[in-house]
Amino acid sequence: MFSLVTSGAVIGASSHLMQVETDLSSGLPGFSMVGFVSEQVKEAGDRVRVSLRNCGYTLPTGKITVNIAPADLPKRGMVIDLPVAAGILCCMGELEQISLDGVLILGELGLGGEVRPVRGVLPIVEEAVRCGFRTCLLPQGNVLEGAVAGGIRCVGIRDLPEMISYLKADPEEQARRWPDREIDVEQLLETADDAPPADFAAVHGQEGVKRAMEIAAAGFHNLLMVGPPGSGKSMMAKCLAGILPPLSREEALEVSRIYSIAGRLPEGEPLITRRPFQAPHHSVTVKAFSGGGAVPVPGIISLAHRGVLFLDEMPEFEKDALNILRQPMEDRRIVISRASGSVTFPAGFLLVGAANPCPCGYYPDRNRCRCTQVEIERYQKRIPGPVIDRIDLCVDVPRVPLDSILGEAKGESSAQIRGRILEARLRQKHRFAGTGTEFNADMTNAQVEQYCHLGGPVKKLMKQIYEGLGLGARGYTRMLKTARTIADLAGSADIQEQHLAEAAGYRFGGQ
Amino acid sequence: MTPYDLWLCYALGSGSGTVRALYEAMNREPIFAEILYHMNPEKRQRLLETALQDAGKSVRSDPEKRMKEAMTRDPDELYEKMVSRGIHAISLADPGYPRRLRMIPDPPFFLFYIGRLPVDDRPSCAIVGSRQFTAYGKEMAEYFAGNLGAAGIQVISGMASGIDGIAGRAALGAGGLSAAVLGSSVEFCYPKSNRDLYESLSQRGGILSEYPPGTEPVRGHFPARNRIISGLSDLVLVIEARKQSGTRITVDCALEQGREVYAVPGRVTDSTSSGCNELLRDGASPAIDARDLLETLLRTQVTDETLQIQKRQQERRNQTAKKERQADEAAPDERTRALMDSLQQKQKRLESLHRQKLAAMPKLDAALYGALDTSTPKSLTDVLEGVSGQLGRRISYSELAGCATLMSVRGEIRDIGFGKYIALR
Repeated sequence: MFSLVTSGAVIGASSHLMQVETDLSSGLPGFSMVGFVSEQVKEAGDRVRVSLRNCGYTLPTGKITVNIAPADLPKRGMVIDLPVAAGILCCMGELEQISLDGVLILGELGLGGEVRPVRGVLPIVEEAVRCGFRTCLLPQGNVLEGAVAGGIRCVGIRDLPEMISYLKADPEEQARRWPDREIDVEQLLETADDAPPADFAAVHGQEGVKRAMEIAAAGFHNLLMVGPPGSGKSMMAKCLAGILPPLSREEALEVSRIYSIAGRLPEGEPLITRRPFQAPHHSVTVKAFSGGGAVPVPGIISLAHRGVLFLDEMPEFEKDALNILRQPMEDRRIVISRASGSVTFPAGFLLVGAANPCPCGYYPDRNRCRCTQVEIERYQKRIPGPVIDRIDLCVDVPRVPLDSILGEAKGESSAQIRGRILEARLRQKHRFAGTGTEFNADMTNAQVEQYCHLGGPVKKLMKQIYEGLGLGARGYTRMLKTARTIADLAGSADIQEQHLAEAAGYRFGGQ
Repeated sequence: MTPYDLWLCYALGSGSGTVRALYEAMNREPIFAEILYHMNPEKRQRLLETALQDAGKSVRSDPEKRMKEAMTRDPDELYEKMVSRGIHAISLADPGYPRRLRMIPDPPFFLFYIGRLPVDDRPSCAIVGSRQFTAYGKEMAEYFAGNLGAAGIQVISGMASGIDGIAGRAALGAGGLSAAVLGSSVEFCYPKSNRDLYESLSQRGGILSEYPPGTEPVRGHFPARNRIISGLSDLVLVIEARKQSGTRITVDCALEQGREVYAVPGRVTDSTSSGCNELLRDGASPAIDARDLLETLLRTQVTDETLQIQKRQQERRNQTAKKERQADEAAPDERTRALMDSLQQKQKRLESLHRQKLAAMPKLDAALYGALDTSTPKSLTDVLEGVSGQLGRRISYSELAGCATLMSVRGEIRDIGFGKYIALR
């Protein structure tokens, strides 16, 4: 007897469908699983057999061989309990092969027969949809996630007997007892909790940072905040997450896929609807940061995709961890190389860094700061140059004077700021339509030339700034991109002098 | 200097006074080192004891043994090596030894140098200050060192990071003579961050040390070298120092040597100027204007007679001596006088331009300028509220930031890093 069940898994960053072939033949009793499977995957055998027995099914005597095709695809870190169970049951005659055709089965089995959720369901189901499957049997805990993919009937299974009932039932009964779950992604996004984790209106003073964050959010520019300890840098970073425009449908799916692969989709929340905000402690390991491991899993920078990656006390991070950022900040993805191949995870985060100006934090206040010039320079060099090069905005965050704290905060609210940002976003969408670029910060040099053209008097000012304030080529490009965003926020088609002059204020270093 | 002198320096050191004692005990024989080298060890031992006794010094750390140890290295070879590196040396026995240095209580017997030694017939001024400087300190160091250098004054410093380095560069940049005394032997460049200054001094000034080649910079050497810095100068100028800083050691040496001390006053609330202010309270002269120092430097050249401060004050009132010197050195004096006049005119011009500029500035610029300080850096975020209040309307951060950029480009204010600005004069 031979049976064929379709399942799937996420390997690296992509999902693959696989055929679970089960064969039952006479001979000495035995069970073997082949198909380039790792030991961990083979554990399915024990779980399946015990749970089948506990559900009242006696395993046939004879040799059971399970093959997972294709045989050249290495299978590790996946759970294929439920498909194997289905395959064996089919070989035993309990299930009809025809009921299994065109059906994707996923799930982990407990020893008592309960079906547990697995990770990566969303991308696997999406792949199944692409391959024309009609139905998928998913653990109950994953069914909403599968429904998000859309275009396929998702059936939630709680335990082994339920799966058997379903597969044995006729289509009418199936439709009645297991109604289809429809998820409207657009609606989910619209009704998402709009209240940001922190509102700008609650922040006292700090006009410079607020403005810098507005620019950062509008053009997706990376930002570095520099200031003494206790000046509110962490709180400001949370405010930034609140003024970023809401996730689009495509963005929400992208982010949800990553979280699904990482096994981090919260229970009952099949879709990530808010911009991610990741704030790792500076003691984070390089691997947790970038992703990887024997079975490559997305790292923190990927979990911040389409959201904010906040690195507080940036000079305290390991140099290796910071150096990891170079590629993602350039390409918006990270490639993790292994001997067996490489895996690419998305990593399009908005970097917000916070740093003290010197080891004690109070430079240039010489009444408090006793750091030597060498100590200051060495501290600043701890953030690698190539990372600094890709940060467009640098703003100082001074200590808030007591008067400011005691007075009433009378700044703009996050909602007001967000309005301006959305407008700027629309302009960018229009500008970059048809190109691969999405935001001003991502412009190539050619695009900078095209879209950041400077008129006569503005060009003259640029020259003055370039020479008078000692800009380099990189600083020049960064300044133009920032100026473009400032002009967008002001609703101006051209970059005017005041836009360029303000952009210059966010450059790095002094004289 | 001879190879034997070099041997003696490695054995006994320049500053301990033992060499001097021997020199005196041997009746100031020019080739005393050579004689000592070939002398019978027992005879040498006895000579050492009597020499040190006569000089009133106790015999410590077995000099005879060290002399024997130093003999294991071939003096001619060491000497060749030194010369091939472009290092010169001079001893107290040479008539060319700097006159000012000869007169201090404990001059180094040997002096090594690259480039040129400070000359006796031009005034010299030591400019010292702390390693952690502020924008104000930098400005003052550049102002004084630049003007003094331009006037032909020799500027002496320690080439340390911070004020020393700034002063050295400014003096050289103004075309003046400059020299640095190191806490190591002359072939080491410490700190590395002043490499450019080291190179310039090697070519256009002088690098001095009392330590023979191969001596690394060591903490204990620095107080000792400070006595040489003040010893080579007529006047010591302290730009910026905290209380109880290394700079104080130089000042103490200066006072011991009878040199006059000037200090740049700072804000009473700035701890970075607390040392200078303390000096002023204790009697140092305030350094407000380069012209004051120039006048003092030209009238007061340190000679044997002027070691006592009272005598110096008397000589300052001595018109005839001044007239004689004017007759002898008409050319430099006239030149300096012309310089001082042009300095005064320049200052007056700058002040009037400044007033005109302030009057002509747009309201926002003027408000921002007024809100900033010339020495304490301030953040735009901090001054925003004040500026808005002064103008009677709400200024946005972007407006202020744009204004700040334009003013920076025009040189009216400066960004010293991290968005903190100072107003420029």
